Amino acid sequence: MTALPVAAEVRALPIVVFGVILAITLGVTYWASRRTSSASQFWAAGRGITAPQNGLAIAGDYMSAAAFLGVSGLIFLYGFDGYITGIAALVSFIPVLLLLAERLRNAGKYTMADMLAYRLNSRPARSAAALGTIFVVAFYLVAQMIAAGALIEALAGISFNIAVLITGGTMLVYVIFGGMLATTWVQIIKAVFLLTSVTVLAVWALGKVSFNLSELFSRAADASGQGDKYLGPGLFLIKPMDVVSTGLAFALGTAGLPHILMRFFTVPDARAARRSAGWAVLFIGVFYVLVMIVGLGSRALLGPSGDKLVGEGGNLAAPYLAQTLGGGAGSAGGDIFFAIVSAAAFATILAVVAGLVMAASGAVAHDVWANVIRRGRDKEGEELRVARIAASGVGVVAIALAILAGKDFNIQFLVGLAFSVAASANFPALLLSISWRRFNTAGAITGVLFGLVTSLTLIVLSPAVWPGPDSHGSPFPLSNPAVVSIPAGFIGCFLGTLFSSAEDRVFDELRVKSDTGLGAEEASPSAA
Amino acid sequence: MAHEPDWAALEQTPEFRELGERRRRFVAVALTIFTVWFGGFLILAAYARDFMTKQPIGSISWAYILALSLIAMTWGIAYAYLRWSDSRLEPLAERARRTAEEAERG
Repeated sequence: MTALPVAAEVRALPIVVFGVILAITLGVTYWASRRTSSASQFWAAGRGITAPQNGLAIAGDYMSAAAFLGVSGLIFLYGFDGYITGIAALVSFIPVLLLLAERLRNAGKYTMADMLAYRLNSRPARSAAALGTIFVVAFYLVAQMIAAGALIEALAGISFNIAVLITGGTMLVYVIFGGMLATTWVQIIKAVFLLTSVTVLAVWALGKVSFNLSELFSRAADASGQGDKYLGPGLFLIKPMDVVSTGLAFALGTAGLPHILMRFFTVPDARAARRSAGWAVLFIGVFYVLVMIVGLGSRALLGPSGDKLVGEGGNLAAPYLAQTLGGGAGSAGGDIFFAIVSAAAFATILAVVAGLVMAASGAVAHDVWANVIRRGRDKEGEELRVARIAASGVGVVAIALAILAGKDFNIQFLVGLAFSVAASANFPALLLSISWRRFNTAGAITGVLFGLVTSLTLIVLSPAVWPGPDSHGSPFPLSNPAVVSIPAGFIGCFLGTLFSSAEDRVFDELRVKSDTGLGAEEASPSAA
Repeated sequence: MAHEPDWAALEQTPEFRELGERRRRFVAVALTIFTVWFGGFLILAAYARDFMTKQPIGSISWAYILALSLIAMTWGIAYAYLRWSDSRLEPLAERARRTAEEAERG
């Protein structure tokens, strides 16, 4: 009975609710699998998702476990600094909406690399964009898998390795059998479930202070032991430049995350792409107001034992707030509410990792294999088969890396790296390809490489890695390199462009098509 | 299959020029508001910590008030863009599309 030396006791109730979620989402996958028989259905759900549905799915991709448990936990531990990444990730929607959403839908097919390949020399530009995608997705996916294992272990008492295998296996079933259609609906179901749970949690917490927001703030500050300092910045991102760098990484990196950009290909036209971004902004904004209340509420209400309960990184603040509100440990209400909020986190992890595998499979199968290696000679059916093989390969590698890294691996720097590469390698090339007439293939390649190499190098030299966490003698002082690597990405794009004399004549075509929607991919071509 | 239209000539048509010009103007204004507001927020959070910790409304600090104002700003810009593109941009895009289709027919 006492075979496990760790404190992870098996909790029956969360496991039952997790099981219900698995049953529902696997049912959705079965339904979707019968509607997924072409490459366009696999990668873009037949382009038949409506704007509000896609808005919820995009919001679901944003509302990851890091955004829900991570941000509320950091607010619990450090106050305002924990909130900055969340706000930065939300405002990144303005560049996405104004610059990218409609144009991606009008000019692309399945992946963000399609956009670059459209006007630039297709094979090298596509390779560069695929490289950026694969790096971002790989770091992010492994980080999410490690977080998934650690969280499920803490919430349900299932051991880390088994939790990673369950998460990885389920994610692969969604993607391989149900493609983008299943991945989208799993994300929508989770988004509704998560938003509902967080709303109940936040309103209940506010009720404890008679719906007086100011009272919530003062009680949180008192409980923190930091006083008023808890309500301002400076307790987590100690160096001022770290605030700027982290803010930039999340504000521009989110706009270069391949699994989110990919969702704009699933709607019928550019107008729906625009509207889905609008819906997403609405849901994500509401979500971050609620997360603020949950973070401050957990500090105000958990009491002195809170610090020990929430664990390192504060990830368990939200579930334990639910337990306290429900009546405390051991009470039926407390156990049920804890299980429900844990299940919302579990559903979040499953839905987000599935989206990441979709994006990685797009980069490997559609970009690298079908267009760079096979040069577009394969039939649709062949592309679909390769997509499934690529998804399996990516998934198995991610599961293996997560288990090898183990639950104590510092995932914070992996996440920082993913956002930094997205902001520095993907975003500049994507932006310039639609806005700068002179931009060319050499510019795209040097831009992606500059952004990628600068991010990787500076992360290795930063306190998280060199020579160990929290070191004071790191060659690069900031925890996130974005403030240097984003300019490096743009400079790479400019230098490469200027040193190459290549002119391309397709810019006018891209311009006309991306602004008007002429010649855009039609919805459900196979339905006819 | 219609023959490939002359994209460079299309790009020069008054219909398309106006579409591009209008869009650029809206996007420039919106991105300026975004940059100043969000950039100002980051700089204050980084370098004006005492100010951000002050509490002008009950115990609610400037840091959170400005963060919530950024959520409102995001909603505002998104709403304005959606309204504007439905009422102004779509008719222009429709006109540019018709010009292009006429050109395509030759």
